[in-house]
Amino acid sequence: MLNQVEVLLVEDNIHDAEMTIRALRKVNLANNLVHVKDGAEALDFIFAQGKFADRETVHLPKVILLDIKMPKVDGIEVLRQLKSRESSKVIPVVIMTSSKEEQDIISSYQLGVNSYVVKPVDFEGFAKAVSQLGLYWLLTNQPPVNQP
Amino acid sequence: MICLLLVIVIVLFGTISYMGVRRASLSIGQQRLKSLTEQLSSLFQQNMHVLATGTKAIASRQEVVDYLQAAPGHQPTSEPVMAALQKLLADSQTVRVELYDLEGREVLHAETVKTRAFTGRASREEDGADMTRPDATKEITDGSADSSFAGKFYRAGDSLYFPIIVRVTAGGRALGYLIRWRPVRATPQAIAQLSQLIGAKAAFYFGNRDGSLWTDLLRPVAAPIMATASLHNIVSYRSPDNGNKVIAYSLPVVGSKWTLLVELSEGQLLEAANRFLYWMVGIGVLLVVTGSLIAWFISRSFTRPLEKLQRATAAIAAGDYSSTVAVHRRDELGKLAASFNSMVAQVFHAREELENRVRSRTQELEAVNRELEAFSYSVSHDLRAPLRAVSGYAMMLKEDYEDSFDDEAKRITGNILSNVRMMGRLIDDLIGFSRLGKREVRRQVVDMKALAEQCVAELSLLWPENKFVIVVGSLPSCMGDEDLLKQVWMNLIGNAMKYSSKNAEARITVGSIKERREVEYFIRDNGAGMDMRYADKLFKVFQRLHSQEEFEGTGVGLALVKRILDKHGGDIVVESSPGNGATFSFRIPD
Repeated sequence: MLNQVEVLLVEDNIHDAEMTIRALRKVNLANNLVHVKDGAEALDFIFAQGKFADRETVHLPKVILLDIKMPKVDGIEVLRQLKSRESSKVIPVVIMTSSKEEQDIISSYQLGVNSYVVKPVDFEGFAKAVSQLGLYWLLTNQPPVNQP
Repeated sequence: MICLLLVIVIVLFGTISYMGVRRASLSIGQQRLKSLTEQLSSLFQQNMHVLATGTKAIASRQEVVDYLQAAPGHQPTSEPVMAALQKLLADSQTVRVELYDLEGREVLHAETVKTRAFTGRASREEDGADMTRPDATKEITDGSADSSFAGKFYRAGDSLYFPIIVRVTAGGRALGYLIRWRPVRATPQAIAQLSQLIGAKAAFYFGNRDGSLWTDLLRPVAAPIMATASLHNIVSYRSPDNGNKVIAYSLPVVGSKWTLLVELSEGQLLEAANRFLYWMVGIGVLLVVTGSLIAWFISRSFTRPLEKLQRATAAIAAGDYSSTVAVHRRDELGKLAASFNSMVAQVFHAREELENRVRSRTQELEAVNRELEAFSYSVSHDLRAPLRAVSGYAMMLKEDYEDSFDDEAKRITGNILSNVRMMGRLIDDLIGFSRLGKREVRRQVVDMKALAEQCVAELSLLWPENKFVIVVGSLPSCMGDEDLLKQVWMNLIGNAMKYSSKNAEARITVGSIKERREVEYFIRDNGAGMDMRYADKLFKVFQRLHSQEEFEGTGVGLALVKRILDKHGGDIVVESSPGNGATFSFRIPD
């Protein structure tokens, strides 16, 4: 089931999540998508621990769509963890957030985020942004070679 | 000033009292003159009387009478008469005695040989000098010898003589006249006595009543001027001898043919007055000097503390609250200084307290402000997510079920979506507006022309169908925050485009005017324009002058522009009229 995860969506808002998935589905990129609802789960998933201890860590997602404002572990912390470990730091991370705070942007880039996108307010813009993202990172961009 | 007052008072007072003293002195002097003259006159009168009495005694002697009574040719011998006459000559002053008959012919005479001048006619004619012997015949013949016994003065050379004329009578019948000649010469003692009597610097003159001869009892003198005017009358004139002012009074000497004139020097009279004047002047000067000194001291004791007070007041007005007035006295000025000092201290404390209060209020206000801004930011921020959801679901509804929608359902969904879009823009604008409050304005050189052109390019993409004629003139650079100023241009140019979008020949001009040292940027369009009556609402949040159907908008754009310009210390104004477009002009100071 989770053999070839392509997209890891880390989003606590179910509506935003639904809209993201719908937009990706429209461009046929939602087939191998995993959605987790907070940062802790995201880390568990990537490092195959806790809830996802039995996951095979052979394949890494082609892109992680990461929200910042989440309960428990927030996006910046997840980003830091991801980018500090050898096994995970090559995974492209795209932060998708409502925040346009300079501080968030700076910290994210300093931690090595690959892209920072502010969620548009209106759905149309949102859908367009998501589908553009998906097309780029899943099709246009060359993912890193999978390492065990 | 007080000095001047003192001087005036003293001068006035001095002058008035001097005048009074002078008048009094003169008046007294005049009295003295009168009484002096009277005394002198009566003195001489008495002297003459004595002489006359002596002469009368001889005149009434039998031998004299007999001699005169005798018929011509039958005179007795002259020895007894001569003896009698000689008796008169015993008086050393008498130089000649003459006996006249009634017709004025000399009958006998006896004389001493002392006075050559008197007997001059006999022996000294050859000299040519005027040696006429005094002759009283006239006085006898014109009958005036009866009235007085001292005759006129007569001159013989340098000397003067006068006759004592006495009538010789027998049994009531006049027989002749006995004349006794004496020189007019006062002895030094007499002069001294007289001088003592009348005082120094006074002069007296005797003269014939007919004015023919005048003397000072030593020698003949020129007739005093105003001799006649001064009879029984005090006159004043300038003495020809020494030019001094004198007062004069003359009286007839009773029993003689003389007039006595006494001159008193005014200067001497006024001596006392003048001394008084000098004293007055001296005292006056002293008073003035002392008075001025005292006044100066007193005023200093007032002005010095007052000056201190004034200086302290000026210092306080300039902001220095540390100045106090150092005046330590017990009187009113001291109290004034003390109250002033305590007032200053109070003002200072009040000011400090006020400043403290202001500071704490400002802090409170700033805190509240920050809270408000944070609040508005988080509100706007948190509104976005559910808004996105609404928008999303409405969109999904439309996309997935559009086919099974009737027109009404489509219309309703359309409205939901457009309102959601509107709300989204509002929230974006509000977030932008509130974020401005936190932001510090950066001051850098901004190329306004490039910025405006960039905005024009970006905004033109939003209006692909419209053909705007946009002219960007020369815009000088300014000092400001480039991001914020870009927002200004975006809003203003965007508005210009929006409100002339319905205009077929839309023309937008962006330019600048240089006024002395200030630059004014402007943007003019020929679009819809607005009613200037509501112009002041224009820059307020959520205020619009057109409806959404006419031109869509949130009503935040211009409020944002104004806020940005305020932060730069500039300002913005608008000129417009309905249907004739609008011109927005703004300034950014250096």
